[in-house]
Amino acid sequence: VAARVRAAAALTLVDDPTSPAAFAGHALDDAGAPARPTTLASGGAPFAAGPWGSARRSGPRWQLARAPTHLELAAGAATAGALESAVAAGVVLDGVRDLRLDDDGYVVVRVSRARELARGQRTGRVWGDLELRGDVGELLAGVIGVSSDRAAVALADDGPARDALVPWLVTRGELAGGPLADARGGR
Amino acid sequence: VTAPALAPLLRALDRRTFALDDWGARVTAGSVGWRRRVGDDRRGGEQALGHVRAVVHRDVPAGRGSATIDVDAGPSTPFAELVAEALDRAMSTIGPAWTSPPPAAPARVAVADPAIARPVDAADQLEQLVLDAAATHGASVRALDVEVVGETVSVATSRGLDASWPQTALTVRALLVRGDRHARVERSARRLSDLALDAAIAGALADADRIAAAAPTPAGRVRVALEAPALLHGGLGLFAAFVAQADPGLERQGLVAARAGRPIVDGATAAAEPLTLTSDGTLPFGLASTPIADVGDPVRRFALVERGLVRGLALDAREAALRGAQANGGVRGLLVPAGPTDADALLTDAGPVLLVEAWHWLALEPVTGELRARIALGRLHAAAGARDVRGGIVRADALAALALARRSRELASTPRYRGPRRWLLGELAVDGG
Repeated sequence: VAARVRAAAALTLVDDPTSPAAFAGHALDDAGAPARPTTLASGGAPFAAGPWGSARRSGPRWQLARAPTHLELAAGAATAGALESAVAAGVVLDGVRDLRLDDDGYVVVRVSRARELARGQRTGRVWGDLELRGDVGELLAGVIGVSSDRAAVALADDGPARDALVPWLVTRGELAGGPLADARGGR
Repeated sequence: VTAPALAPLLRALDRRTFALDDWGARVTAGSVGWRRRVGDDRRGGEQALGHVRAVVHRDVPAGRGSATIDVDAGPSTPFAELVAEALDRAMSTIGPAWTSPPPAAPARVAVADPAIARPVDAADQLEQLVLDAAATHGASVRALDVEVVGETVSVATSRGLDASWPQTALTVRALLVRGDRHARVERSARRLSDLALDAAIAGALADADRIAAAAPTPAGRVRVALEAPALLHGGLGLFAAFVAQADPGLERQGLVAARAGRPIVDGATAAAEPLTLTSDGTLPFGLASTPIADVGDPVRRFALVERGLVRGLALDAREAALRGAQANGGVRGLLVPAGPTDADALLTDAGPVLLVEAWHWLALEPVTGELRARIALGRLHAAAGARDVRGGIVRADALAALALARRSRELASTPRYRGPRRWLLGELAVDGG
């Protein structure tokens, strides 16, 4: 999927195991090689081909495999609040419950809440249990805003310990499911 | 393959007999042979495996306290300290009194491939089989993960149970590339011959060609049928909801869909083909089969659902004793009797039917049965003919969908399932995408 995804020019994604902010940062990876930052996407170019990251040991057999350690999406210039105030009509999604990315590049992100935005203001209307769907390439290429404030997220799964530092993004996508079923297909 | 950890563990338990009222232990020891390829990066090796799970009990006037030891064990594992520490913990968990049942005879079931002498050699053989099969079908192997486990399981209890048996497990995950298409193959079995790798690789590559030419699945409500690979996606597939319903802890809290003796869902007993679902831990070479469960529990066949009614729960020794029932070793292999209809007739009886052959992913909330799954490959059968489709998200209540389904006469057999090859579910919602 990564090879055919071209993120918006505003997005720069780096894996930097040497960052002081890295939860599982290291100077040498688990194969003994010096760690160094790797730019995975920038300037609207296609994503770097995988496998990404440095050699890490994980899993029940403690085997070596390449995996990112500390992903950073570069911050933008405006605050998240300023980005919201520029949206004429839309929603703020948060509380990820599930994310599925298929081999064909289709992504489904199930979220707990969607807060309505109208003329740059939160209306107070909230929907629960929705899905953001679409081609991951279109969602990333469609990013028109990146916030200056970022959140650190620990990634907990079966792989090696890793984290991400990510801003809020403004993009366009299809929402479906839950109480918004009548508006299914709305972007 | 030996069980070197059992002797020192038993010595440690023995030294503590003055404080131990009851105990059971399960030791697995052996090795895993593995091979991994990602592009040109090739790795492989052999690792020793050793795991100990033991449960110790203390009986006092207020009741019984229990604690578990669960460690990867090696020559230097301090069993005496682990047992002493577990006994201390047991005293802080005093609950209702119960006694362990007398030991039951181990179930007669084979779970080891006699053709596997050394796991590392079998891993080599398996890697070569995948490479050869891919080449035969004009594909290359982009990524490959092969693992072969061979081990001896030993179970001993303070009540005199002492049993030991060999078991093997093989797993293959491969990403194949042919032209601009790719296919994934994932197989698990206890025997090399049960992997059927050549057929699996040929099928996956053929599916990749069909997916490339398939049309998007139309959105709307449509009758949905499932082939066995879709029904069992990831191992248990939709049946994970029924397994969760058999959890005695959930049942005690009233979180299951229905209590024993009640219909699993409304209308289940009046369905055209009321569902009967049975757990059997003695399927030959079954991935969930075992002569003895956990640290000494007997393995018994039991019905989870019988003609639409909820029947048995997965009961370990403690749950069984507290309920005055027999332990059954939990939910293992799944059996469903054949239906009365030919598989092809299920698709032509009336109206259009969407036959799902494979999912991209399947997200199931096991307690509620809420199902979401995205179609990787399906075939839409209508009066005008049949055509391949891809994409689209199916939403359903997995419990209701299976309890009210019609089933084929033809059977499928996997390492965890013996039952109908095709299931016709009711009319379900399919979203585009």
